[in-house]
Amino acid sequence: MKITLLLPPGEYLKNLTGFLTGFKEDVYLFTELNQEAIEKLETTDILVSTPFFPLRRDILQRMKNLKFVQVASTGYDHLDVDYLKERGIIVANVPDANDESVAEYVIMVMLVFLKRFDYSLASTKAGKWVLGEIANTTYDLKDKIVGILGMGRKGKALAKRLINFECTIIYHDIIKLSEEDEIRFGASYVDLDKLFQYSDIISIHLPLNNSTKNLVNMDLLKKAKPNCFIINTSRGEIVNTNDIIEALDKGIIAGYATDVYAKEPPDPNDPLLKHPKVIATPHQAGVSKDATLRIAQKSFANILLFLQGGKPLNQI
Amino acid sequence: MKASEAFFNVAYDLNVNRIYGNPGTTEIPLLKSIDEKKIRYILALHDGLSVGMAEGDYFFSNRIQIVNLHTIHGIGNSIAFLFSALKDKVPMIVTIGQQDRRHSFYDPLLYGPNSEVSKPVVKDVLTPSISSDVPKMLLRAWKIAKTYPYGPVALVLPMDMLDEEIETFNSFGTVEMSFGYDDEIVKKIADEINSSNNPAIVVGHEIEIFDATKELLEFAENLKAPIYKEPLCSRGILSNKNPLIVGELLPASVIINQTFANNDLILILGGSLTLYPYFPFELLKDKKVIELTYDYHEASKRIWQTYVCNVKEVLKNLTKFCKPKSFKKDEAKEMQLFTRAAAAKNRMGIEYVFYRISKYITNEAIFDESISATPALKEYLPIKAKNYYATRTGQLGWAMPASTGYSIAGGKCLAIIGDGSFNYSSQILWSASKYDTNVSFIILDNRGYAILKSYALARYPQITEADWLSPETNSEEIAKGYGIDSKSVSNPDELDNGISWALTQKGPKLLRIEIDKTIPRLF
Repeated sequence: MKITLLLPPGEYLKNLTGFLTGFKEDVYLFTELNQEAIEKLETTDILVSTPFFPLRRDILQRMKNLKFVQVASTGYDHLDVDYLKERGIIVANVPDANDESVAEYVIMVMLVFLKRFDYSLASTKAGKWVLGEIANTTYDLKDKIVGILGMGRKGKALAKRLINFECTIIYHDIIKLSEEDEIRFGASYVDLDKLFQYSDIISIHLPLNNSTKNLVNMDLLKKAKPNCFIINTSRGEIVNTNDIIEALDKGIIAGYATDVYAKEPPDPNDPLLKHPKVIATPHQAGVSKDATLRIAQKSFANILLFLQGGKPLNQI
Repeated sequence: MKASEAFFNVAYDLNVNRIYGNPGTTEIPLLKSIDEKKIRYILALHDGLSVGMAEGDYFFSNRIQIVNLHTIHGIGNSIAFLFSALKDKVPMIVTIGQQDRRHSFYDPLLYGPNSEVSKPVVKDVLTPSISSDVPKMLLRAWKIAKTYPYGPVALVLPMDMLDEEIETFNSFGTVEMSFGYDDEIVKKIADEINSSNNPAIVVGHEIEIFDATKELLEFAENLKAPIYKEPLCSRGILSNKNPLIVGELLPASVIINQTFANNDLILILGGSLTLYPYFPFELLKDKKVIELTYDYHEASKRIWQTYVCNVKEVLKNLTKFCKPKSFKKDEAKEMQLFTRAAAAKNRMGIEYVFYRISKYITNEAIFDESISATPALKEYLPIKAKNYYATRTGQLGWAMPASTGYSIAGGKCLAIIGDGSFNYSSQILWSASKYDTNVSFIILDNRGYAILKSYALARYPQITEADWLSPETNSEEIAKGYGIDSKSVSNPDELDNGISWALTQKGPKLLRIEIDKTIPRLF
C-alpha cells in the first residue's frame, strides 16, 4: 500500500515520520501541495491529512486508489467528507488528542485578558512600571461566570479544569448532559440567549456546519454583558467578524480572542489583527508539541489498524 | 472633643432644655461641659426632689429631661421618686456619677454599686464601657425612655471617662411609637422610601413572629428592592429562592457596610443587625437607616430612625404609598451554587452534601445547629416561612431538643447538627426514641469545633491545631445506645442512599455524615 502524508513542516511530520520509519509500505511525505504531491496522491491508498491543506473535490477525484483518509487533527472541514463517503472511502480523525491543549490554551487566554498580561509584560519590558494601573483594571477568574458554547470533548476538558478556579460554569449545547455529568463538570445547562446574558467569559467549542456558521452575530452579542470576553478556538466562520468588531467598538462586549479565522492564515490587514481589544493567535490552541505527539501516536495506531484489516477508530 | 462635650452635643440635638439635679464631685466632670445658654441647670437641695421636678416638667412640656444624681447617695435619696416615675410611666434620663475607674480597685470614697442599686426602680440601667460610647449611650437611653412603657433610664458615667478625648460624634437617631396603625408614620416612611434612589430591605424574625410574610412579599414585590435577611437569621421568613432575596447578611460591620455601600436607604423590618467578630468600623455610619420593630430594647440599640410598631400593620398600608424601584436579581446565583457544590463533591464539602440533601427534602421543617455550615445550609436548602428554626443566642445543644418537641407536637422535621453541637444534648435521643418521634437527625461530622478553629485561624492561628478543639465522638454509635436507628456515610457514593434512608423512613433516624474537615474561612 502507498501512504501519503500531507503535513505542515514541524512536529507532525517529525513524529509521524518517526513512527512510520521501517514500514514495509511506500511512504511519501509532502509539506506542500505541489505538482509532485498531487501526482503521488493519484496512486496513494492511504492519505494522512490536516486542515493546513484543504483538498478540493477535483483533487480528491484524481485519487483513484484512495481507501482510507486519516485526518491528523480534530477538525475535518477541509475535506469533502460527503464525497469521500459516497466513494466508500473510510475517513477517521483524532478527536481527543488535543482536548487538554485547547482547554489549557483557553484558560491561558482568559487569564491574559483578565490580568492584562500582554500589556503588563510589554510595559515592564519597556521599562514602564504599571503596577497601580494594573491593580485597578485587572480581575480574577474566581467567581466569574464562564459560559461554554459546545459541551463536547473540548468543552468538557475546559470545564474539568475550570472547576478548580472556583468560577461558575454554565454551558449550552444541542445535547444536555446527564445530571451525573453536570455534577462531574460543575456545569449548569442554559439556553443560548442566557449563556450570552449571564457569562463574563464565553468560550466557543462548536463544529462548523450550516447551523453554527455565523451563529455568534449581533443578535446574540447584544445580549452579552459589557464586560464579556469571547474566545473562539473552534472555527472562524462561527463568529461574524464584522459584528464582533462593531460590538467591540461600541462597547457591547469587552474583548475577543481568536485562534481561528475564516481564511487561514488571515490577511495581514485583517481588522481583527489590528483591533486593540482582540487577542489573536495562529490556530495554535490544539497544536502544542505534546498534543502533536499524541495526534501522531493515535493517527499511526489507526493506520496500523487499517493495514491489519481492522476497523479504524473515530470514523467520521 | 471630650466625651462630656459630646454628651451635651447629643443632649442639645435631642432638645433637652433642662437638667434637674443636686450634684456632687462625681458629677463635675460631666457638668463642666454644659452650655447653659442651651440647657439650664435647675438645682434642688435634695437629690430626690430633682426627680420629682423632672416628672412635673414632663407633664407640662411633654419633653424628656435629664436628672443629674450624685453617685450611690443620690440614688438612695431618690429611690421613692424614681419608683414613682417608673410607675407613672414618665420618660427621663437619670445620669449618675461614678468614681474614677483607675482606682476603683481600692474601693475609694463615693465608689458604689450604682447600677445594681438603681436597677429595681428604673426601666433600664446603662453604662458605657468605652468613652466613645458616652454620646451613643445617651441616645440609647433616650430611645429606651421614649418607647412604651415609658420610664426613667439610668446612665452611670465614670468620672475619668468623661474627660477622655473622643472623635466628634455626629450621628443622630430618632424613635417614634405607634399605638395601633398610624397613618402619619406610614406616610413618613413612604416619603423616605420614595425620595431614595436605591433602597435595600433587611428582614428579620419579627416578620415571622407577627405573621407578616404575605404583607412583606406584597410590599417588596411592589417596591422591587433587594431583600437581605438579618445576620444569623433564626427564622425562614420567606423563600430563599424568591427573586428579590439576595442572601443573608454576615454579622460583621465591615461586610454589612460593604454590602450597602451603594444603597442610600436601608429599611430594617422586624430584624436586628447582630454583630459577632469585632471590626474597627462603625456600623452603617452616615447611612440613612429606618428601623421598624415592636421590640423596645431593639429600638434603643442603634442610632437610627426607629419606629416602634407592628411591622405587619405598617407593611399592609405602606405598599400603596411606595413607588417601584428597579432592582434586578443576579439570576446566575443558582448556577454559582451548582458549580460550588460540584467542586466540593470529592472532598465531601458541605456545599455538595447540602445540594444532595436538597434533592430529598420535601416538607420537613429544618432545625439548624450546624454552626460553621449554616451559611451554606441557608444557600442550598429550600428555606421558607415557618420551615426554618435556629436559636438567636448562639447556644449549642438547642436544636436537638427543639426539633424533638416539634415532632412530639406532630411536626415532621430534619435537624441538621454539627458534631460539636451533638454532644451538648445527645441525651435527647432517648426522648426522641421513647416518644416515637419522626425526627431525622443529620450530624455533620467534621471531627471537632470547626467554628472555633475558623476563628482561631483568623485571629490566633497558633492554637488552630489544639487537641481541645477537636473532640472526636461517634454519634452513630451513641445513637444506637439510645435505641435510635443510625448509619454513617463518608463518601459521595454512599451519600444519596444515606440521605434517602434518613428522610424517607418513618421514626427517628440519625445519619452521621463525615464531611470535609478543612477549616472553613468564616472570619
